[in-house]
Amino acid sequence: MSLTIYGEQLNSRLLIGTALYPSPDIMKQAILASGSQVVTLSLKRQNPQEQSGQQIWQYIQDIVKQTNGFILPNTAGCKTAKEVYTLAQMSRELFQTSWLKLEVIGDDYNLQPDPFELLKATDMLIKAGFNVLPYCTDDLVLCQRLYDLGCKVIMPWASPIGTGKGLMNPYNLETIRTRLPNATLILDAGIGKPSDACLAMEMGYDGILLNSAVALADDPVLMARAFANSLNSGEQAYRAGIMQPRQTAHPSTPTLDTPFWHQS
Amino acid sequence: MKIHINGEPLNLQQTNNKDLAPNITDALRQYLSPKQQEMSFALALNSDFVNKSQYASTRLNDGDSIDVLFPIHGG
Repeated sequence: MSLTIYGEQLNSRLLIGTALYPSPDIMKQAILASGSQVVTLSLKRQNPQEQSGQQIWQYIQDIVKQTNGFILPNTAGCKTAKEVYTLAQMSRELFQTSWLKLEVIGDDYNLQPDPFELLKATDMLIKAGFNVLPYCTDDLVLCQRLYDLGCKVIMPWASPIGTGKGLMNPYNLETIRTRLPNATLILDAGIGKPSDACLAMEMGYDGILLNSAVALADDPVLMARAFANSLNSGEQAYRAGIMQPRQTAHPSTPTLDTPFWHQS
Repeated sequence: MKIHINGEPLNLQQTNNKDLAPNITDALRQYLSPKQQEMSFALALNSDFVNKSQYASTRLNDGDSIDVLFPIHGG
């Protein structure tokens, strides 16, 4: 089953970052192995003598071409709606896309999004014609407000960026899924292992955005494949309908005609 | 005229026409090599986005601050 983001149909439910890989070649191999058609990237100041940024940009363009995919620029490092607004306009001009992974950081220690600036920025960006994919905490009311502002895609965190701690609060995430049945929900940040991604997909999440879990693996290419498989498993399980847990044991083998059984 | 580009001070040379202040294109010519000027980048002046089509018509003032941003990997 495909994922639709702002009208674009995608074959993969995995969105993947381009940072922290051992080399650009491994990055490219891993992203191709993941099957993802959406890659994130950023804009930063750079010494004009430094060529690595242009090299990465070339690699990313190659990946997008090969996968028939899409670029998702982020606003990493921004702390206010004003900063976001300027960076978003720069991204739109350079990358020729209205998609934006909106990040507004409110705390440097755990990189927690600032919910107040996030809502302000979302409002400004949507009015300016952006298709916003906000990275937010797993707060139901915040997600509801983002949806009400017009975000078709909402991206609550699993846990803080780069921690690999997995789903810190499954109850909150399940509640968001239940209460926002029509929103496209993508779990973003904190995913550590494929089972984390699978769990979110089993909850009915529409997709996963990750970076560190693949890039920091001993074998990023193999880990990318593992994540692709885990997303498929979780998504299929959700559609198949997972059984309800039961309090007591129930024999799965029929008890009728059990051998060696004697009524006492 | 003294401005800042990406946080670094830059003494902007006067243009041929002394009645006109240097524009963004002049600043980029001085800051970037011809090859670097052809790279992909976007620009903000005093924290406000400036469209590429406006570089030549945007005159600079003493103390202005320019950010020139390039694509980079990100999560």
